[in-house]
Amino acid sequence: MNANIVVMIVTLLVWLGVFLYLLSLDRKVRKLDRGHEN
Amino acid sequence: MVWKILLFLVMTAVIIGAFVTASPMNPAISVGSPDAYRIFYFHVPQAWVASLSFLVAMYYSIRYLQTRRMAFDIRAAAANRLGLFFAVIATVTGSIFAKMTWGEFWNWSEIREVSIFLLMVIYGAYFALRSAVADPDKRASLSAVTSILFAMAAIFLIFVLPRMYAEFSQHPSDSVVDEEGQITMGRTVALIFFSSLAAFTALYVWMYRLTIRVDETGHNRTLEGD
Repeated sequence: MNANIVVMIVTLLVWLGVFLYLLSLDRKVRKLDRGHEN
Repeated sequence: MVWKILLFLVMTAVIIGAFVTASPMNPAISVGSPDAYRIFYFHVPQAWVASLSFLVAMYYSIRYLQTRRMAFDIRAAAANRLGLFFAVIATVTGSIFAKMTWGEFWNWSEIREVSIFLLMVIYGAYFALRSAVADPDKRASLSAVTSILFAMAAIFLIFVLPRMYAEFSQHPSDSVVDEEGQITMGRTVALIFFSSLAAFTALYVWMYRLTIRVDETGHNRTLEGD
């Protein structure tokens, strides 16, 4: 397989991981905020 | 939530565009593989976000010294932490580019590599200082002063020093704008590059807001514990 395509797939997987991690962190912080308000 | 989906789509399009379109470097004048220059789409926005973050930290440090509100100290420290994080990422991507084009991961005679190293050392000192001072008010005041000084040093190290000693730089010159301020890129390269710049800036804003919320929650809990 073309090296550029391999690097592209790896970069996309890293980006997907970073995005999902930030989304989960966002949800946890929202829960913390709600808990703090209550 | 809409802007987060938009960020995901734009960054995904940038990654695909960076690898499926032609290299941004003309193969006739390329040093090493022209494919190595694709890292330009990520390396430059990372360095931009790091610079932006150090300036944000300087702004909130000035606000802290004006008002003595601890919220500004938290924002300044969060900006410096993210600035250092993006500076490290830019250094890693820069080193990969250096290996593929100049044959070495690190070169002490390359002015931009030396200047980013100095930048990381001084911001490392900033966090060492923060962890060494126990009193929160004293820590915030000292951090604010050093943050302002270090941001000015960062501007000098990133924008002034490499241009003063251009003969010690192997970096591709005129990669974004030429000496007359004109954009030197073709339309496709400019579209991918500026989309990447916007996506990295949005990613930074998201990460910054998250960091502040986590730090403020921790700060409030500490106060409640007291």
